[in-house]
Parts: sequence; C-alpha cells; structure tokens
Amino acid sequence: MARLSDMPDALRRHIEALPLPTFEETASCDGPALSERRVALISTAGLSMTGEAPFGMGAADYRVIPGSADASDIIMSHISVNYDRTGYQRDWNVVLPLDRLREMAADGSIGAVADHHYSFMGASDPESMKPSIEVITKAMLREKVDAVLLLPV
Amino acid sequence: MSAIAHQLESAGIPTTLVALVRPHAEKIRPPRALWVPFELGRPIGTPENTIFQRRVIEAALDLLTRTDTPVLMDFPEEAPAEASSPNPDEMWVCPVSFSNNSTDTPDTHTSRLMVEVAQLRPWYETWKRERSRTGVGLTGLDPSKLAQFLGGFADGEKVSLPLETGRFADAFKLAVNDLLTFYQEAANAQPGKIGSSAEINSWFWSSTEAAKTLLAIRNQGGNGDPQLDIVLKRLIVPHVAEGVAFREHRLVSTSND
Repeated sequence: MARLSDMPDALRRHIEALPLPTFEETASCDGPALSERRVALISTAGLSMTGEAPFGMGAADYRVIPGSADASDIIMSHISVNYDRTGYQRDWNVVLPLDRLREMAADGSIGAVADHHYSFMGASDPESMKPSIEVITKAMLREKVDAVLLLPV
Repeated sequence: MSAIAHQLESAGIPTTLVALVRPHAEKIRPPRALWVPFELGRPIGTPENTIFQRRVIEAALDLLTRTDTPVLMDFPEEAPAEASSPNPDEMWVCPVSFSNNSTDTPDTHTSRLMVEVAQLRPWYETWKRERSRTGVGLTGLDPSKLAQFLGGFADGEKVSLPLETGRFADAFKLAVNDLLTFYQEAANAQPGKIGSSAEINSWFWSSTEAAKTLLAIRNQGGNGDPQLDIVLKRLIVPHVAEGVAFREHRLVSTSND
C-alpha cells in the first residue's frame, strides 16, 4: 500500500508535497562482514520507554531504547494519523525488530545487537534534528556500532 | 530518516534504511535504501510473521556490503496477505454491536462516547490480558476520562486535561492517540480473529461515535490556539477516512487539510 498510486488522493498529495532536504553527495563507509557487525536500530516512529515523556509536535529530541527492552516497555506517540498502528500493536517487530535482531545475533548472522537504540519523531524537520543526531553519533561510535538500520513508519 | 542516514554515514557509521515512499528515497539519496511495498506504519512487513520479517531485515542489512552509494534496491515481495480468522471466508467484525442509546441518555457526544467506551472495555481488557501490553498510556488517563474530555470538547464545553506539563495541543493529541489505540486494541481482541488495518479503519470511521466525535472536534478549530488548530485540522482525522467507503456513510463532509 506504500505505493503512492495506491494511496487515497489526499494522502498522496500530502506526501508528494512534503518538503525534502537534498544532498549533493552521498558518503560511503565500509565495514566488516555482517556476522561481525554490531547493529543498532533507529526508528522515527516516536517511540519512548513507558513512563518517559512522549514526543510533542515538532520534537527534535530523541529517546534511547535499551537493547534489553521488551514490547511492553515501549509506547508510541508519533503525531501523524496517516499510518497504520494496528500492525505495531500486534507485533512491535513490525516497527522495531529487536526480537529478530536478537535471533540473528544468536545464530551468528550478525555479530551483536547494540546496547542502545534510538527513536525520533519522524514528522519533525530534519534540520532541527541535527544536534540530536550528533549526540547519538558519538554514543554509537563509543559503543563501536558499525551497522545502523533506519526504520520509518 | 534519509537525512539521518546521511549524517551518520558522513561520521563514519555505515547505514542502511527501509524506505516506504520510494520517491522520497530517490530524491534524498541516502547511502543505502531498501524500498518495500508495504503499508505505511509497517516497515518490516507483516505482524506475527517472523520468517517474512527476517527476510526484509536481511535484505536491508545485505546492502551494507555495497559501497557504491547511493544504492536503492526494491524488495521483491509484497507483504503476505493476512488471514483474519481461521476461516478465510469469515470476515472480521467488531466484537461489540453498538446498540442505540436508551432514551434517558442525554443526546451528547460525551454520553454516547461514554456508553461506547464502556461497551468496548471488556474487549480492551482482554487485549491487555492476552498480549501483556497496551499502547494506551500516553496521557495516563482512563479511557472513560478520555471520553469525558474529548466528548466534552466536541459538545462545546469548557474542558481541561489533568496533565502536568507541555502544551495543551500536545496533550490533546496524546488524548486522541490514546482513545484511538483503545478502540483498535479492543477491536482486535477477539481470539483468532484479527482485522486488517483496512477493516479496523473502515469500522472505526464508519460506525463509531468516537469517529463522529473526532470529526466534530476537527471542525471546531483551535479557538485562537495556533498549535491546537494544527492538531485539530491535520492530526485528528486521517486522509484514509475521506475515502469513498467513508463518504458513503456521510461522516466526512469537508476536508480542512
């Protein structure tokens, strides 16, 4: 359903009209085999730990999700009303596949699951999020993360 | 999302992402992107299908071997169709058949919403018990309090939210999210009978008092609060509610978005 042609007209027009940043160049990093990499997730689904402050409109901050988190630890406060939440309600792996990553680490497909994962409010201005991304970049480098899987909603 | 990937990769951290909107990935050109033809809100595909989820994740992670960035690959599979019940011919139906309010109930959004929430509550409690989790809890308010607040607002009453911090507009949006989640979880609580997102959406927007209440709220405007105005006009009623199936029920008369 995420083909624009399959969407209701109003939603398609909304998505097509979203302002997007442009980048002249695209960087490229190499790394070891996947079986040796430490993998972290970044979700823009507006996820926080239960008990933490939820995201507000235009939020440019982030939340840390421990690698040991369970589905019942997480709550979603994304502001958009235009995407499905029922899949996530049934199975958090549809949005934040920590269970799948743990299985992949256990069978050796990846080296390890990172100790920390991160979530943003996806509807916010990317420019405003830069300082937050600088902070988590440093944290990931300290933790020797060498693979990041980014997941929108 | 793609902008985050650029920033991380430039700092030396290899990234790969799942893209739900292909034209966005084409324009922003993140280092590595796997476009998936899945519904918005489901980047890893289908709930409770571990094998399929694993294939999606592996396809995205496999792109990390590529250094000829930008790379944009298409995932070759559609999300598997979901069996909504053990019998594929059996359609999902809401576990509650809403009856008309008794004549001694005041004819207000608040009273009708309170009745509906009370009818759905046993199913919501079933969901919580069976799943050991709930997405309701952003406001910390009981669903009956959410109904009182949102119904009261729709009825034009002066209402307040007993939340400690933040803007009223944000708190209002969280209250709406909590109420929607309450309905969705209750609706999907029947053992062995799961509704697709389209079925749940269609049910909610065509037959619930909650939908009528949210539509009434949307049309009220923010009363001088520009943030609240944005919430009410853009963040309460989804575009999908304005589809043909919903217009048939004459719930959506105008679009303010």
